[in-house]
Amino acid sequence: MNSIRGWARSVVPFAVRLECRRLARGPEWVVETPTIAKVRAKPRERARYPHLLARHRSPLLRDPALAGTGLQRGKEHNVALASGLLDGLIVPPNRIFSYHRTVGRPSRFRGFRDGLELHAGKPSRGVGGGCCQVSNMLFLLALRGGMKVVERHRHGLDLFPDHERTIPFGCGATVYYNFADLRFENPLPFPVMLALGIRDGFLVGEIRSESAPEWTVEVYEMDHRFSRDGDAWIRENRIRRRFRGADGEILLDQEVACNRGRVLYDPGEDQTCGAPS
Amino acid sequence: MWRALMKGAILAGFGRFPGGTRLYRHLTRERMGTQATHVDKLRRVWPGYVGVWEGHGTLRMEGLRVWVHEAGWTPYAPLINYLLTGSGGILTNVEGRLLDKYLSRAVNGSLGTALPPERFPRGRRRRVEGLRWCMRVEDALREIGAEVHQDVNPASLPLPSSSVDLCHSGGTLEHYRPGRLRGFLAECFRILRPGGVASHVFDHRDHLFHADARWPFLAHFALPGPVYELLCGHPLGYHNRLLPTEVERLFEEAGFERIVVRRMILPGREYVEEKAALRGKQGLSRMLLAPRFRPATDEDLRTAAAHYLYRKPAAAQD
Repeated sequence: MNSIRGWARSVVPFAVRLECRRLARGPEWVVETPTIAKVRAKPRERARYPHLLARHRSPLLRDPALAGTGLQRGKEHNVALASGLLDGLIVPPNRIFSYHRTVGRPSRFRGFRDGLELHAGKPSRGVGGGCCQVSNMLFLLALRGGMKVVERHRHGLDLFPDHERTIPFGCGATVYYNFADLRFENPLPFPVMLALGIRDGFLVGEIRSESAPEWTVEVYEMDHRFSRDGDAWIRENRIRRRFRGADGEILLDQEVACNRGRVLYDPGEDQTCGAPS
Repeated sequence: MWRALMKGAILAGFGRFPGGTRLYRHLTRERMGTQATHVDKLRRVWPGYVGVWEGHGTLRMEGLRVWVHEAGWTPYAPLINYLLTGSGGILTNVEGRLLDKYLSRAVNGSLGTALPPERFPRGRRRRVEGLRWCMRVEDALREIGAEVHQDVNPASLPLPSSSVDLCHSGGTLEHYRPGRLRGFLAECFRILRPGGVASHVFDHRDHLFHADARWPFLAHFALPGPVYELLCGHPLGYHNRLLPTEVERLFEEAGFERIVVRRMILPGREYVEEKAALRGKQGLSRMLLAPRFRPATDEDLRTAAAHYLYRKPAAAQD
């Protein structure tokens, strides 16, 4: 089987293989339609979601050296476009949020531009590049907002050192249309609404709900370490979250992600420290 | 009318095709999430069951050992058992598979069941609330001490004799062929403790009625046996078409003592006892009945579903 796959890889162009793989998910998309959240709140309906379940913001520009470059501008445009498509989406109880089914295919025809993306473990240029910042944010919001993540793909690289990181390493999710998706279920008995937008150079995301939650969530990491794999540095950790009831009693403590990524910087002094939650 | 026929044709298409039953269940239960409405239905009917068990069955739910047969694809039954009794109880599945995707819906459904709040002690409620975030249904069931047996043979169940107080099933046994039903009732008798209660709900309606309410609800009584076998004798369509009086006879043959048989009549969907069933709408004109069903009583022809509540005699030997 592996030899057939290897032969197909060498003969069939990458773009054709990619489209075949995308088509393979088509029938699944058709039958699962009733379970997917697709309604967006009208502007006057947004006031019905006054309670904040989770909020996070992340800077659009991480490396000042990239300011004003084509890739950075493309990324900012793509993030604004994707967050606009997600803003106001209502996820009813027990429905599934799917990143790709909401944002759709990132094509030039739909207004996406070239941006920085990671492909096969290497930084590269691609249409819709940079949208992972949106999916990273959604994954973190889902963890903190009490959503149940049913599909998530981790990044294979750790791009930046921790000095400006406010969340544990590995609290992100990569997406690639349409087979590497980020999906979460709303397990709560009331609907929630996603609110995303760009403000003052930051991507700001919220999950809001109709009713106040009777629990709090704490996201934390365990077993964080750097290790050597040949010449490369590898970073590993496990992300967990803990739910507490109103009286502080632990309702559930669960592992939500197990990360392992190649480090693209010299870990230096960061080798022994994990980032705070 | 066409919707009912279409549903019948689709079910026959899948049911007659090798592997079609499995594919149909995979598409509908696992992909389309059709069992979500089953949780809503259970949440609606369970308070009524509890009322019957406590009223007619004189059972006290707290600490009761409850066994639910063929609870389907959702873990609603063990969760509500835990909230009411303190233990997830026992679950046996023949066709059904508990699926992770219905866990949080079942949690929300069980917590939202319309029973007085004092029926769910605070500690149990908190524990169940935490389970909505579990990724695997097995982990959740382990937390509440539920015992699950999947792929069981209903005529030979892996449960010890005289080990449960209450056995319940809903909308399941009408799909068993009469021989299999006899075998299951014998097992039910063996597994119940003396004095234990068997509570089984049979949906006597032609199930195509669920696709189109204009379809006569006992339309399947119009077909002679061989024709019915030809059209509906596949795993997705089979209904044993036993009349309520025939079902009562099977319970008695198994050794049970009758407590009460509550019949659901249409159009009001109310449960009544004995002769009050005559108030209900008739499921099919007598002129259209196949010969086998002509001796049916008027009550039988007006019964859409029935809740059979029987007791294993206190002095019974296994």
